[in-house]
Amino acid sequence: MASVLLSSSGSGRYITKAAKAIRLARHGCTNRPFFHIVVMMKGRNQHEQPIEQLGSFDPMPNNYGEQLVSFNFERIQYWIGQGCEISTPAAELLGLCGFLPVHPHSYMTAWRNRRLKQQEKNPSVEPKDQ
Amino acid sequence: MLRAEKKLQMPPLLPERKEINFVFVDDPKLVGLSESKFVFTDISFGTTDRTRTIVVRDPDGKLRKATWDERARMNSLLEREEYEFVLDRACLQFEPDDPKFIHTCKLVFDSVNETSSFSVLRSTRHYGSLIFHLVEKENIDDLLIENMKTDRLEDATWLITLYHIIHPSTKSKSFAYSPGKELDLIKVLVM
Repeated sequence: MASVLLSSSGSGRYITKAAKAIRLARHGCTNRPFFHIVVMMKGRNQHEQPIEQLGSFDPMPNNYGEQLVSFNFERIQYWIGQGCEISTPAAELLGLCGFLPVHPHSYMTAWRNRRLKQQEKNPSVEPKDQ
Repeated sequence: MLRAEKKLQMPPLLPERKEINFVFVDDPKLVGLSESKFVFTDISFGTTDRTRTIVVRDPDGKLRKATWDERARMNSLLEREEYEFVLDRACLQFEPDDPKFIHTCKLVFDSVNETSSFSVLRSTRHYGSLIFHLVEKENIDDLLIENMKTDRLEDATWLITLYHIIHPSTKSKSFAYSPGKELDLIKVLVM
């Protein structure tokens, strides 16, 4: 975990031709995940200083049953234009909000959850594929 | 703009806003992905609270614009409970027998009672009026519970004593109270 508070405007290590990725970086603490959505060079440790923070994601539902996500879409567009890759979890979130097409992984998870629920209801029936 | 002009600027008079009810897309294939909603807020530089895009993905796969309630919640994540400020301000602004003053105070006190945030007004000049208002409205249950929860048995006793003074016809008034019998007193009132 980063020992100092990192500036969200970035100043992380930036090499012009190196591959970069829009991804989640886990903050929060034990049993209480909280993610920053950052752009940083690929393959770096998530707790290194990012090039720029692009949003946040709180995966624990609040009192109203909402998971809160914020995106700086303007900067996300810029970084996609720079040829950034997007990690699967980040792409899933961007898909759910309608910015990108819904990620196949979201459909897979949803389908698996539905199948599990069905199996719990009547275990004898073999679930049919959709 | 001159300072006087700014201070005298009339608040805009607008027709009541319509509820936002706009569905972008309904995707039943996403049912089961999550038990909770996802709320996406655009935090791009330059967007204001009124213009920023806020969308919600419901558990049934519907992608829609956020309602006004949700927007308000996202735009001010901290619900401000500045009761003391409002009351202080009312004291400055109104004469104490002004109906507006009385109305404002009652609104604030009811809100305090609703949220059970009595500790905000405790040790301020408004606590007495709060208690008096609640006792007068025969609505001391929440306050009594809060007193018990925060180990304020003496306060609870005083509250009941005041209640008896204002409502002499209460059944429990006949109970002979003496120090040490606080719990019995409360029991008699609650029964």
